[in-house]
Amino acid sequence: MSLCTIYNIQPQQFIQSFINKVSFPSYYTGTSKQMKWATLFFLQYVEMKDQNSDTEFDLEDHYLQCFTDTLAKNSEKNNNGGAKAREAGRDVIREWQKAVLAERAKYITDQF
Amino acid sequence: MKTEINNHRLTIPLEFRVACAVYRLNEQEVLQIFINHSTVYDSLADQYSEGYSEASKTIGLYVAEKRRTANGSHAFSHYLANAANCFRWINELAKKVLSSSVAKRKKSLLYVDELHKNMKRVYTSSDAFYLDENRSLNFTKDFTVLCELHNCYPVEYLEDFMSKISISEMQARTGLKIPNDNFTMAFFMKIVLGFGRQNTAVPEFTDKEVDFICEMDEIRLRIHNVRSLEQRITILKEFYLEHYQDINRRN
Repeated sequence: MSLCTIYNIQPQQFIQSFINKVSFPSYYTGTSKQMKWATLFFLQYVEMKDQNSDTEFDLEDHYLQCFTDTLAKNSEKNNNGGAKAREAGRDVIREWQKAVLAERAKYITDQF
Repeated sequence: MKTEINNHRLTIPLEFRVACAVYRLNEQEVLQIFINHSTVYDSLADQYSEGYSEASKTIGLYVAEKRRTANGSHAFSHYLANAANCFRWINELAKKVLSSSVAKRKKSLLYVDELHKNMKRVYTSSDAFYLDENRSLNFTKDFTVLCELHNCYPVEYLEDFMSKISISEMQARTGLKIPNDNFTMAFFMKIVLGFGRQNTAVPEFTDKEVDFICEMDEIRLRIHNVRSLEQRITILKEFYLEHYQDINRRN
């Protein structure tokens, strides 16, 4: 916080710009070196996160594999800065998010 | 008599060389620290002693996997009753709850001395082992007794120890939430942090090495999307090997 004051930066603006840069599709298609730091920080945070915390590891394994395969498939065909692979990757992440939410909502839907 | 072991050369595995190079450790020093911490006392004790437990249990595990029992030890066969007593006393020391491990280990040396003096050396013809013209290892009494007790050549223990050291294998597991139960590697990482070493000053790094350390941090995180253990190991092995070859080219 002191640094934000010193450099006259609004914390919420800083956090927002950080959040905007956290992205697996951007990081793994690796177009710009500048983009990598936020995602690396995120990955490090995930690594240090408590192992018993509520993460659906089975889904993680499945969708990360799917994500990696998708990137590989789409970057082979035509490589216009990885844009196609990035979009395809984003689709997988959206699917993953849906699956996670469905899993967490199960305890409600199971009662019907 | 099987004495050709003197000519037997130690094969240092690539992954071990790479690990030593990455952390700028002296291979000879690492092996010597392993030898110095392998004791009869700690292979019998349940109580944990930093370094000693890991080193001694590494040998214990190797022997168990080989299914070599102490019963048929050639070196002690001529005075079996006395030798058995010595081991029994060390075992009693190890099971004692009171008094510190340091004191008990020291006391166990009395019996180890006795065993060392009376054994007929079969597998350890010498207390020194030459890695090459300039580098040698010294076997402790404890270490030679452990060799003779289980009918093993020193080279076997050393090669087994080295075979368990791999940065790639360790890091590949870290991100996968697979328990890392390789205590031999944990021992190696203690040495990296200075355990048992003479000179623990942080070496000065060149710009290239600083870059490498940054890359090392990044690749560990970057392979988050690779979920297969084998694939992760392959990626990391390639990464470290490249660095190792780079170091060798420069030297």
